[in-house]
Amino acid sequence: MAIDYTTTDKPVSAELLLIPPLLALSTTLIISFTAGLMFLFLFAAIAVSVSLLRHFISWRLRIPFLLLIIATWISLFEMVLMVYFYGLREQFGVYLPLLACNSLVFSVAEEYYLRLPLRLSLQHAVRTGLVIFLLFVTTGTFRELLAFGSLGTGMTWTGSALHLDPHLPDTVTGLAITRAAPGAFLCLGLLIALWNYCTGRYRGARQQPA
Amino acid sequence: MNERVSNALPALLPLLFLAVICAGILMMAGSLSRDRIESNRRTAQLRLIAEVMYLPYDNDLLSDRLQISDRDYFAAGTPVGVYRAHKDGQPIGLVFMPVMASGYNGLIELAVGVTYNGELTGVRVHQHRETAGLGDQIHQNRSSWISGFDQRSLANTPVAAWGVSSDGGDFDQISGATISPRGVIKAVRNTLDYYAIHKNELYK
Repeated sequence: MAIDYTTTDKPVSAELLLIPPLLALSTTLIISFTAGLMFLFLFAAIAVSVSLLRHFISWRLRIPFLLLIIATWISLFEMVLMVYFYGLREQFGVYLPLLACNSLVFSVAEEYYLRLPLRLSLQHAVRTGLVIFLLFVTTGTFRELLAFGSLGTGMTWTGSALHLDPHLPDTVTGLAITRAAPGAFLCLGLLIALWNYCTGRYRGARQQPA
Repeated sequence: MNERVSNALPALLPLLFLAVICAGILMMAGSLSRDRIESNRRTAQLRLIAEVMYLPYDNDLLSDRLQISDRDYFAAGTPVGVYRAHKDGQPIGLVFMPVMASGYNGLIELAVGVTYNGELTGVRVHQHRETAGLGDQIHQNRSSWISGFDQRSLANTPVAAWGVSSDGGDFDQISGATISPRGVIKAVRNTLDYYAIHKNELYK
């Protein structure tokens, strides 16, 4: 289902460009895993509330309406993080409240959830959320492996619950660039290159006469 | 003009109503989570303070707190919290947090632990924005550089030795970074100086 969405003619890579503020923080699997999960739930929550309330709001007031809904949800998410995963909240820092004016969240809400009925909105939200979740997890895996040589530091599975205790692995080796913010873009670039290679777009573009 | 306002009002009402509901939800969630968040914040602070104050103490370190501010000793004149450790009523040591050091990319936030005799128990970086791979070597997760402060005091380290080795000091150099370690060393030394002068007031 997630893959379906990426194969539509919507330029996914262009949408990807809107994610980086949080993606830059995805230094380890634990951070990117939770950030991706948060996006998934955030999209679902926004889709449901916007889609349910869309008939009560005049079209001209859609922007304050969307801001209100998105900002409320993000504040709630922030509180949940601060209660249950305080360390993670510290890792996200200022980027979490900034999501309220993230253009990806906003444009998707305006483009789809204001127009589509509940079921279709939710379906779209889950697809978008899953793509972003996969993207985050891939980036986090790539960066943690190269920067720290470890995977899943701070995540422990006790059989019944997943414990998250974010701290950077104790290591002094590894590729510094993958630890720094540009590492996220490097990974993103490689992913897009891989994607273009697989879909043959790369070759197609090359064969076009100049 | 008046006509337009009256036309807009019915459209605005649902939005206003929604805004009130959202505010109500957030207020409720805020009051429900406030206590948990506060206790989480204290736990996070205590964890860092415990790291620099390894000596045994039996008081509630977080509530035994002074606030000091001295432009001559602490960068930017930011208020510094002083957490006082006692055991059986006897002073054990202090933790200064946050001590601000000037780094390459703004201020570096440190926690500095001092024993009663003026010896450093340890220094930890709380927050910083130094360059990854270069200046960030001052951080305890990145290298062991910061443990070079352990057990140092004004008595066992002469004034000239408070510097990186390229400046003739006792501390290791960090290749590619001179500003960050210099800033940290200066901030820690200033803290010890302040402690030496104000020791008696700090335990009062």
